[in-house]
Amino acid sequence: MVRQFFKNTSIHRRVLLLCLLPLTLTTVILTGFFIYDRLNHVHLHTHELGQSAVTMLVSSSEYGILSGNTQYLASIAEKVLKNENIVHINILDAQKNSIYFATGSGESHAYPWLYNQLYLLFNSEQTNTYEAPVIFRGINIDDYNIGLFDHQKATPIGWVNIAISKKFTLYQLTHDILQAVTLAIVVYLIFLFFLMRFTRDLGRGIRSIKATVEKIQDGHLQARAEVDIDGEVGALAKGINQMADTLQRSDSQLRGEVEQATTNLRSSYAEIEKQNEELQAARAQAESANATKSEFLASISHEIRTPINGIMGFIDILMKGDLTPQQREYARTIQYSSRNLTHLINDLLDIARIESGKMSIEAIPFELKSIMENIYSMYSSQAFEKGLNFYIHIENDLKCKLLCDPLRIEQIFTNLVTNAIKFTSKGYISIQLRTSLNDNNQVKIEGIVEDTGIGLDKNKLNHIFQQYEQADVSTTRKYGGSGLGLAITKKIIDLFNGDIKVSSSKGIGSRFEFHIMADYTRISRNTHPIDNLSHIFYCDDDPQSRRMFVEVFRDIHFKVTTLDDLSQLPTTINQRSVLIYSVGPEHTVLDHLKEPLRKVSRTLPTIALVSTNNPEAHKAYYRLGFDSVLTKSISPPQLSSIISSTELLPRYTREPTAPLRLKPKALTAVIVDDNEINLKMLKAYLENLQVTVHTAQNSEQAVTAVERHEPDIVFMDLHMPLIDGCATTIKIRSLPQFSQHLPIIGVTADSTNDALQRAKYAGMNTCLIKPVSFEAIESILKQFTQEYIQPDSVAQAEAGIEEPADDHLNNMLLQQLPDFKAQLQQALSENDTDQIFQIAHKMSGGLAYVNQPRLRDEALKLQDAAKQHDVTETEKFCYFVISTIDAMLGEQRRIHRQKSRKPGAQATNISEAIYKKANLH
Amino acid sequence: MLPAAISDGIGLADTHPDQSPDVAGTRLPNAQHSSVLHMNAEHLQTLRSRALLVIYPHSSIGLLQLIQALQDTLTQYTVTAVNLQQQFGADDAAKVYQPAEVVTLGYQATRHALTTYSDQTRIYSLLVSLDEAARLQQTYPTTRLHSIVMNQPLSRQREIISQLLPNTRKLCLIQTSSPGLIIENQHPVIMTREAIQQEFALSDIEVEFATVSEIQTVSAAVKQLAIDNQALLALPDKHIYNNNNVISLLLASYENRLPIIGFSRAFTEAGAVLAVHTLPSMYARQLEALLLATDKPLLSYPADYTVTVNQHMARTLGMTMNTQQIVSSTH
Repeated sequence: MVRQFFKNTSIHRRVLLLCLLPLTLTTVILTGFFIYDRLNHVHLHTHELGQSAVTMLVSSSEYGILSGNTQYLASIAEKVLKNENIVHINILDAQKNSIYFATGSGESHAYPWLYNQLYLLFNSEQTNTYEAPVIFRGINIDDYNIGLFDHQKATPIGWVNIAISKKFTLYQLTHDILQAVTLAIVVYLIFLFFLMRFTRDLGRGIRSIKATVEKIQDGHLQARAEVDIDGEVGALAKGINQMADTLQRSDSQLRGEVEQATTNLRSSYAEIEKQNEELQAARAQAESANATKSEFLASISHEIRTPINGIMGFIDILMKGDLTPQQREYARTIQYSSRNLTHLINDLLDIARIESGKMSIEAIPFELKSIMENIYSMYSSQAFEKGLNFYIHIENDLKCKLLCDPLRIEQIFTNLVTNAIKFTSKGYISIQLRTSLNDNNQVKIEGIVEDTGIGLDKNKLNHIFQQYEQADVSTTRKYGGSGLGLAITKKIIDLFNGDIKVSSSKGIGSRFEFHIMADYTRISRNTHPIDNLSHIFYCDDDPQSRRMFVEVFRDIHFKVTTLDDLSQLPTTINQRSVLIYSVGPEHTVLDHLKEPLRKVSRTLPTIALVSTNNPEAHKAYYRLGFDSVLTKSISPPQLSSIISSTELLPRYTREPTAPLRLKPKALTAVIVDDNEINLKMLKAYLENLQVTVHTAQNSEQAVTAVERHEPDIVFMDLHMPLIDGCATTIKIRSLPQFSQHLPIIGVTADSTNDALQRAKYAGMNTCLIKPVSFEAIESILKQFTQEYIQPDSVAQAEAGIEEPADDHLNNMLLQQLPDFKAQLQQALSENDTDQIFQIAHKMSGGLAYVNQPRLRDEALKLQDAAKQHDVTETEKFCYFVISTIDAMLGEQRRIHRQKSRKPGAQATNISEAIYKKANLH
Repeated sequence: MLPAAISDGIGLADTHPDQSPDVAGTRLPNAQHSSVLHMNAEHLQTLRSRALLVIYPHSSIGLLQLIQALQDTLTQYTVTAVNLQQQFGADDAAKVYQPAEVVTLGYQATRHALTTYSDQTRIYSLLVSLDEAARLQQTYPTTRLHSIVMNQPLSRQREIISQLLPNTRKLCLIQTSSPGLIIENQHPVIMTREAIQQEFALSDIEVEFATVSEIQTVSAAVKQLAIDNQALLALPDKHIYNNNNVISLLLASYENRLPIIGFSRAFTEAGAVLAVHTLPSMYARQLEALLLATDKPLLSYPADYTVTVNQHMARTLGMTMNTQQIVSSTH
């Protein structure tokens, strides 16, 4: 505070204060000391006076007291009372009775107020009292002091009491103090006078300098300080004036430079403004491009899937038919390429989704074992076909349902297993799974996918989880793939708060270890039908396979005995036993088994588990003596079902060449799609799987068909005009008999989470994403219909598939074109963009399967414009589409006229001509 | 009879060896006390034959002067003085040996010796009044106690007054209710007023008596007696004349112009006009004679005396003293 005060005070005041403070302090201290000293002196003086007076009186009043002579005492007192400080004298006898009392005259004094104040200040008592005893000492009259004349004890014979007033001495003191204070004030005032004069002179100079400096600070550089002051302040003023001169010169110089710089800056600023505007425009353009990219990705997903769906579907169907080896090879190549393309698109979309943060983890209750069964059934056959062993071990299964995203977990395993199969040509693929509870009450899922493939260099290990990264370029060339699988896997695992690491040795194999965290709901596990009486003898020379088999069948409570060799089979066997002989991946036909089998088959049924799906190979094993031949990829529930029913087979009906057909019940399915091509393809697939199919093209028909035929399963397109698939599903679910048990499978090209979520909420069991593969449909049937059993190759051959031909599709499309045109014109006249969107969507779906790129392109653009309710664009593309349709129809009519003139012309040529003509426009 | 010395004035005018205060005071008691503690058998035998133990009550100047006088005078004896009040004093000396002769100074020392020493020890008592000596004889009837009293005989007093104050015709005495004593045939007898009057009548002096009591103070008695008398003769009696009332007595004497004839040198110094008294050396000589005598009196007045005069007081009271006529006391 003091520092702040000094900071804000002028130098004039500061000097004044700094000089006055010590002076005042010194004056006060000295005056105080003087008064204190004088007061002590008063006390001492009074005391000494009292002591001497009382001593004198004591010695002189002895006789007076002894003799009681008051006159004598008065004469003594009178002398003492001459001292004006003595107020009174009181002489008392031994019993303190007053013998004589006399008072002094007292003195008036000046300065009564000061006098009284001093009294109050220093002493409230105005008098001091002194008292002393008068002791009689006696006179010795005994020469020898031998007791003849004893002294009496020295007891007081009386008392003398004197009161001393401090009036006079205090008066003196008052007088002295007044003198001292007066003197101090005079000296103080003289000092103050000189000090003020000094500080005024000093302050005047400094104030002048300060005012000048302030003016200079305010920009008045012409201001100058007074220089007629002597001494250092005058020199300072001169110095400041010189400095001001310099400043003024510099200022004028700077002003010129600043003006120049300002001019330059303005021009730079204008340029920067311009660049900013350009940058803003570029940024807006980039953002627009990015948005367009996202939009493109979303639409490409849908648009690519639809034609691929057609390609894959019809290739699958094609391959089921009779083809020449060369045709089959071509078809397989197409199928392989389509699958790769599908995977690539899926991977790209996944990556896009992950990067945009749109990939989310769902919480669906499921059993880990079912995923493993899926993985086994989907990929074991591929492994076996490559001559590899395929093992799955589940350790420490917690027997609980996980609350997690089964699709993504399966995707992790799929990616790792696909990779393993891809890069392994010999040896095995092993999946190990372990679950455990952690402290946060979550299930920790640890998975290991191990292979004996080509392996990786150690320096490549760090890069393989990066996007588009494979071990080297040659790998891509040799094995294909986008290089996105592991990157997606890693990102999905990250979403699960997990971690993945890889260890590998070049030429020996790779090992991927990961863990993820999942919530769970503990429930009692649904077990497969238990046949406690059945006893399985499992013969396999591969110990890992034996271990896996035991683990699987232990859960469904079969009694399992594993054997290395058939010779280990006991002689006495239970009637309800079965022998399962697992054949290695080499597909070697083991003739040496023929004799042992012959003996064994007398007592119990025998099943061969083979790696291959080749019917010829199966036939060879039947011929060897096995009662049944199954592929190793068969799921445990299916196998257990077969084992349970094996006992029922009459021994004599076993025909080595006949297929083992168990519970051959035909399924009934209803397919709902507004697109006839889609309908036709799905129908062909299902009929190929011996499913009785009923079709419906809209919601109403669908409900009627379901009610009438009571199907085992429904395939429902999500996008349909008027009432879409979701609404139709809700409608079906509202019927009491179909509220729960009827599986309704959604079919869509829209793989976004929103679409899948809507389907789920509507009551669909799951969704198939276009392009739909034969395997996918087969898998769905396996999953959702208990009665379904995979048809054998013979039945497959008998199925007789109607082959859909491109020409046929083109003809179908051409027949629909006038309707499309009329509908478009109607909707256009009503400005109904929603209706136009539906028509365009239906058209683009149908055009996906025919070679009409121009019309399809225009239909897609029309679809987009209608979706966004952009009337101008919609109108524009409507006219484009209508004119293209007109062109195509005109061309058709022209060809028909030519055809009528040339009857041998081929339908396919007609389509090609229409295509060419239409695209010429 | 010539006086041994006459002092003039309040101070000590003449230089008498007896007046040296520190002769006996510092040397004798301590030295002898030390010798007592280191005596051997032979020394003890010597002591028994020639030793003279002096027992004194306390160390006053007067007593120490007397002890010194004894030592100076009794040269044939080894004089050992012990203080009655000091540690290793008289009691311890008595335990060490039983002297044949003991000199006691004052009433208390005499009574102590009588009670402490065996009958074989002869006791010579000095500085006791006639009253005290009579009381001791009554209390401890024995022939081994020989006392020289402080009282001067009346005849001696009368002679001195006659010589120094020849104009005195009326004399007064103050007494208590109990009568005074005189020595007759070595025994104390009551001194009646008539006997006193008869004695002074020899010098044509009348004697008036006054009796003091609790009501009648000495000052009042003086005031009363001064009316008809020319002098007051003070006889040693501590109930009448003591250190405490002497000032009032003297002031009364001054106020009433009644000169006092005292009984000690100190009394003269205090304000009495004259006093008849015996000096220490005189006591020492009388004791020496007593020790050597075969027929030892049990009770005797001091043999020698001196007269001390306070000339200043006499002048103040307007008296004229015939100091040329003063006679001494040597027997």
